[in-house]
Amino acid sequence: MTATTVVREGETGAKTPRKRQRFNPFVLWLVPIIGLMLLFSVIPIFASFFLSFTDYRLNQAIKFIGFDNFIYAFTRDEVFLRTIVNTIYYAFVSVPVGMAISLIVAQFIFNRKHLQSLFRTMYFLPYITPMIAVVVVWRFLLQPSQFGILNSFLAAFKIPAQPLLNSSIQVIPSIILITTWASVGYNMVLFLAGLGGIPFSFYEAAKIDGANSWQLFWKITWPLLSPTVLFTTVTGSIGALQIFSIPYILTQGGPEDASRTVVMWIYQTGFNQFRMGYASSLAMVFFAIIMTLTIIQLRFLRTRWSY
Amino acid sequence: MNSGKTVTRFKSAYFYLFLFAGAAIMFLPFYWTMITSIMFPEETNHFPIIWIPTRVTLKWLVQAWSAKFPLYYMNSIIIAVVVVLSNVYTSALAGFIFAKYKFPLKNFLFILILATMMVPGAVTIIPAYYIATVIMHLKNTLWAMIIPALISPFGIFLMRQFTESIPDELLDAARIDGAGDFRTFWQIVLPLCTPALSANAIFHFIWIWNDFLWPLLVTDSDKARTLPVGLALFASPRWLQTNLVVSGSLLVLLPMVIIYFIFQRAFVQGIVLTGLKY
Repeated sequence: MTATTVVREGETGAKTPRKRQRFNPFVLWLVPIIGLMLLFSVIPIFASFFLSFTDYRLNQAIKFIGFDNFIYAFTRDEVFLRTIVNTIYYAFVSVPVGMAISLIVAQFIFNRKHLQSLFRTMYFLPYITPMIAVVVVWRFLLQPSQFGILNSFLAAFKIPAQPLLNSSIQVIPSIILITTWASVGYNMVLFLAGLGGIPFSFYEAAKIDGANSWQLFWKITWPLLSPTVLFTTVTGSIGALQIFSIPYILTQGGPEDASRTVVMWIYQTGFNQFRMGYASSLAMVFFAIIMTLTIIQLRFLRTRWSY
Repeated sequence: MNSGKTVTRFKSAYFYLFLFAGAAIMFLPFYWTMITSIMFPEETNHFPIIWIPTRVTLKWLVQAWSAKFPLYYMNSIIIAVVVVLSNVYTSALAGFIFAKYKFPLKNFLFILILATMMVPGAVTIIPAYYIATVIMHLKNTLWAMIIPALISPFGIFLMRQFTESIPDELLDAARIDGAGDFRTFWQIVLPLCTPALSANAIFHFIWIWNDFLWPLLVTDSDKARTLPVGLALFASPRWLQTNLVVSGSLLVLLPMVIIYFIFQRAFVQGIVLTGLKY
């Protein structure tokens, strides 16, 4: 059967016979794959949407309560509003800071072949290490006492010991320090790949025209890197907004909710307080926030540099 | 312009200073982890900080290791091996089918895959938890962590991008020579996308090995706990025993760091590939 179809299609001389072909049973291998995706990714999205309009708690009857959860979230749940502020503050500082540092480092080691792989290896290391193990270590490094490594460095510059994780003002900057440390290598590697894609002749031509290195960067490197910048900003922000495990291990959300993040609050309302309907509506609000911010970023960054 | 050379040389001295300082900062937490896990508490709790221990001991590492870490290791390894193998295979197969076959609902399904990639995990976690524990009774089993991770929309998307660039003529030639769809897939497609396969394997290995929230939810006994969850629970009642907790951390860090140094080129290239094919 199949053999004859092949011959016939071969004879018609179609350009893409494989694509013109009628239904091929080989495609059925997608069924279990798509099935699993439906079960654990697609159905849960709709279920979560449905649950967000209910007062569902684990092992209890479901009652439909309309928009009550959403109204409650925005009018009465101060912790939730606080977590939104915390999370956005964290993401909007950590992503640009992390990108600026990685871009500077990438610029420095680009074209220094003998050192590039050494530095790349060192800077990339934190990205692959298990986050939990790293955060456990950082919890000690950022100890508020003089035994904390950071504080002992500050002491070398005659700066008094800082409260760091115990202070509601310094706790998010401390988390930003950790995530910047962890992600700088990843962004740097992407920037190095981006820099490698810029033709060297552009720089030579600009140099002949008398451009200085500042101009080379802003007129050639920066615009031509814009796809990489767009990618790292968008994916970096989506990832940063979902931060959970770092504050969970480091501070459990404290002091006084100062480091509680949205995902942490969803986890706590859903799985510690068992208010799963309410947690679902928080998740929906969170989803809407991420989508909105992503669309804004795509719009803003795309129209600015379209070469 | 004439003094450009000396300025550059002057600058590059600063560059190297900056880069080495940066590299030192990157490495410092790892160094501190290594020395603290073999130090005595008197030296750890010393001010100013002691960077080179005068006496060393293995008792913290032994004590941490005997606290169920072998079990966590076994669980993590089993999950990682099954999940990575499954993802490499299913992503390549589904990616190939999406790239080179025509079938009903193809575009709809592909958009569905892209859409699920964009949905944050927090949105799906409550129903997914319900499906895995209440409906499928998987709580406290390794299956709870394996089954939802057997396939990945991101992996499928990545492999579709790669297999799409394989010329149709090559596949047709295989076909005319009498190779069936499976044989074409195994003997033509898979060998042609080995860089993508290893990138996919590395990406999913890092992801499943470090995953925390889902394993935390679906386990409440040691029998199925993975390393990150095990470490978090090991650390939480012992925060005052710095050396012991840090030893636990080292036990979790070490295998990944060793694997990374052996395969570092593949790791870095794999991440670039997964990043740029997005």
